[in-house]
Amino acid sequence: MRKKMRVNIIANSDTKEIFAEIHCTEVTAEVRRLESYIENFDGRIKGECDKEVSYVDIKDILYFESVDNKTFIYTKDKVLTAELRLYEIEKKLSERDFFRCSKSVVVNIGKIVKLKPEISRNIIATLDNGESVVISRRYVPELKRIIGAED
Amino acid sequence: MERFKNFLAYIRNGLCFSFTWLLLMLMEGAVFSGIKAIEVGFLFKVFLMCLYGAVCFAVCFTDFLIRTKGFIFRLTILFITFIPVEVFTFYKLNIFAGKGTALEWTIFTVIVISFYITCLVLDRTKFKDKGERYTQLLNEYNRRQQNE
Repeated sequence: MRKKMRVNIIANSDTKEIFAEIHCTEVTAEVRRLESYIENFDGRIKGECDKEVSYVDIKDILYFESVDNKTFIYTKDKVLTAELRLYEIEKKLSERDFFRCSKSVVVNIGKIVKLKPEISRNIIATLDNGESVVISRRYVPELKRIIGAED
Repeated sequence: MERFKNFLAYIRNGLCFSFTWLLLMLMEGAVFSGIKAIEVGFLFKVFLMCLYGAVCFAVCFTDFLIRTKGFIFRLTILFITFIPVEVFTFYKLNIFAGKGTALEWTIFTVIVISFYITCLVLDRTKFKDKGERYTQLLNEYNRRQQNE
């Protein structure tokens, strides 16, 4: 049985910034996953809007969409162009509740407020800003696995 | 571009399927009613109707023009755009041998309406319940994630 991970928080007034160190006997896939999770914690994604570079908090992102080899970031009030490709974003944010819901869209599960299955076996997901995205039938089993819905 | 390619693929597939199916039906009908030849002009009109139907289908059931609408909305648009043209073409092409009988048109209407109602009932009952269950599970999942 796996041992429970010990977490120590050391408060020190001399420390300039928050940092985390992982102590382990060997660097396993799990350790790498933890490293990636910590690295992306409260992370931001670089985007460009009207030729102006800005950083968007991951938690503010509704979804990413790839159109003609360009990746767009959709938030409640703006659309930015991302420099990463969709598959890179999917890999980077898979531990952060982002989920590939169709060939061209990666959606933030935390922003979905309603799910509506269709006769066509797709699911229409309504986001908290009222927008909808389609979860195509190919990706529906993965969503069901995530939320724990078994038919 | 990808969406447009998918849209064109739907038109191609829809046209092949519907024209082949209709042609088989026409040949079968011709055999039973003793008609020995089918005119090229007639086939061309059938082809145009199939092409129109395939375009309507592709518009309604791909994300080229309609992106995030549900199945019932798409089906309604398809019926509104295609069924009147289908009725007109059937009438003009004498598919029901002349004006057709009341029974023939009734069967046609019943098929169309019963298909639509079946889809509507399924959407408003089975899929609605499923949607509520999935939404509840999703909310539970999001709550768990927030608490972690």
